[in-house]
Amino acid sequence: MAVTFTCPASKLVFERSCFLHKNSRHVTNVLEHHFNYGVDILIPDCDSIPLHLTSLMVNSRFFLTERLPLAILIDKEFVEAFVKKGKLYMLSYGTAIDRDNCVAIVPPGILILNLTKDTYQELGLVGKPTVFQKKLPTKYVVEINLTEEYFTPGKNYYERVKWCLTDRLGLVFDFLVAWLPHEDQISQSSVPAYLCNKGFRSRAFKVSEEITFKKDVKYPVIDSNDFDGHGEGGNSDNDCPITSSTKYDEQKKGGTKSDGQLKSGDFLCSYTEFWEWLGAFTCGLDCDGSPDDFLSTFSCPDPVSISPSCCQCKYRGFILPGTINCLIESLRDYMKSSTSPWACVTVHGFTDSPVSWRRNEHGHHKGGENLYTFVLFPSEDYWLYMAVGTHDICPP
Amino acid sequence: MSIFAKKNVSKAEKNEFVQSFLQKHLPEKRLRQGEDITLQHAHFMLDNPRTRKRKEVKLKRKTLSAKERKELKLFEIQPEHQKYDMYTPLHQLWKDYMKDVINFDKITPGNQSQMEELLLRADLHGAVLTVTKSKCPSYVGTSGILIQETKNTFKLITKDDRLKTIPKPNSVFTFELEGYIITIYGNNFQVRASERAHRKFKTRPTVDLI
Amino acid sequence: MYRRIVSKGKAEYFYLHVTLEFEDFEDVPVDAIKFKTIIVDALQGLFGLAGASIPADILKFHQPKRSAVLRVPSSGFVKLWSSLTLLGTCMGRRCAFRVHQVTPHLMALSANSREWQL
Repeated sequence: MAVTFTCPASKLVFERSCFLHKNSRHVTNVLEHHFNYGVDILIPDCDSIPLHLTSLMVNSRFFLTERLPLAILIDKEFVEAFVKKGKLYMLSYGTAIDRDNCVAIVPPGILILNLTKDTYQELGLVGKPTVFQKKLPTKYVVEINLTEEYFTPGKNYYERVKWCLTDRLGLVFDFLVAWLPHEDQISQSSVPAYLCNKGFRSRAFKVSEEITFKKDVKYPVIDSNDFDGHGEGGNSDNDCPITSSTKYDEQKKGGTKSDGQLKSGDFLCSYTEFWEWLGAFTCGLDCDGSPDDFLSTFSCPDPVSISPSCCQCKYRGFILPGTINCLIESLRDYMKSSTSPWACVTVHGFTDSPVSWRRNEHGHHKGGENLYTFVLFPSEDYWLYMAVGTHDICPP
Repeated sequence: MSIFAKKNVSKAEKNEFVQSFLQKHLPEKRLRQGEDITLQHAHFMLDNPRTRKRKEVKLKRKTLSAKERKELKLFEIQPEHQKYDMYTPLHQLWKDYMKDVINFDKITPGNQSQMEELLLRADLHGAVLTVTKSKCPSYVGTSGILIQETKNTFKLITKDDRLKTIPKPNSVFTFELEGYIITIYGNNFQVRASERAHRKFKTRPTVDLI
Repeated sequence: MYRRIVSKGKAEYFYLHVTLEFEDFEDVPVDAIKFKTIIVDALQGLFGLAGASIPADILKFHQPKRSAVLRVPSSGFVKLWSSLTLLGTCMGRRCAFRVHQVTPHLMALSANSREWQL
């Protein structure tokens, strides 16, 4: 066909590293991804999930404050009490990043306003046009550092911001609020309590949980060292091949680790195939298609292993990066004592968050996805997938 | 040709010669029409002396040219004159003037477009303008008395006695008058104040935003 | 030990989460095979035989809601999406495809924060 349509670009970063390595960035990668909507855990060969893993997630709470004016957020009292101490995460709820104004607060106290062109031109705060549209931008990003020394009442800049947010446009949003206190004695709910005093109602929510066990699951065999599907020379992703000597070493190690199931020369599942399978399994897809099936030609990549029981947990809510970090630490402990060949933690970011990692601007474009997956191995090695949509800056 | 060679002939002699010459040579028909006399008026000065061109006396201008005025910095408002309070009487004057121009009690939805036409031609010096929308966010919210208007800018004196020059393009201005809020789209207002009074404006169904 | 591979640009496959809706909310029985036929017809209607040959896989089909997860090679992605959008009738009834999510990463379909209700 003569007409070809360009499809939107996708970005996937794959990293293989070890938790024990001194330069391993797994903690920063988790902590820098601020707004997490969901966590999916998948552990094969597991018939009961340890309670301390689940309680960690279930006990985390978050709040929804309705119709909160932005002027409250720059209030000196609020900034001193919650923004400068502890870690405050706030995200506007029910706003679409490609259509509406979105607002977020990320530690350390940066207020990010992702505004539409009309609002930006009326508001009167200087920002930058979105990085995704070079010509005729329709979105603008204003960043205000609430913790800056000059950001105090009486100073010009503060008064200007305050005037813009109160007198010019009384911007009001519903906010998801979660706060990590700096001291253990202080309750998480002091933020909503403070807001309640000011006359803004908050509702508390718990992270929703859904645990399912699946019987006799076919899953692909992977090896932490052999991520590129050893033997597949024509793999296009393999743009910088490992030198042959290291590859042989890894293969030997891999052979011993997988309990002699594999003979050298077997084609293992590559990281891209595994990523697709993992997605399919998490979405609850049927992976038994045959290549000539009318409906679907998708099937579980070879070689497969069968797990008698597979544990799958789904958490949905406004989950703090710190909680996820704890979860990964606990899973590492768990992996040391379990028989599972690997465990997966997938973290989905909010589609409509104004930032993905760090303060990198996030956009929607077609999908707005920003997520990462950790595949943990008993050997403390890990694989990390970081996937974002077209309108996103490549993860760190 | 011998006649031309003769020099220092008196005027009477010349006339005599011409008269006789004509009577001798002109056809009878033309003589009867009296052409010998009329032709006299069209005679050439054969010894045409060069006349000196008269120098045009330039009329001295009573006013300065725009360039001179600019050079003399007449348009610039001295720092000591940049006081908001100095211009509040101007604002009062302007309000009275606007009341003369537009009869606010008689505005109906029917004659609103006529009133708009009048507003468009009215002088705005003295109005309290506010920037409500701008491509440059720093201009947004600037408010003051308009003390000078050029083709492309408004000069406003703000309440804290500062003179601000705001470019008309890419901004939207408003002012309040007798309870009406009037919006000016700077992009379509790039005309000198003096020209605006006579200029014919096209009405557009929609206004392009900035 | 440490390896980092960045893949940018064209993905091999694209995944779509779609729902087929009928105008009168009638319970029109549509099974997976019928669903696939509707999609192929939509492709053929807009792009002809070349369009109909685009391999759109139905990875998952939820019959009561008539929602499905589709997989399509990225070369045919725009064609599939446009045909689904422009489809107005099937089986003599007015209908529309709602495209909920579109992504090159199948994993992203397991969560949709836009449809999250508190």
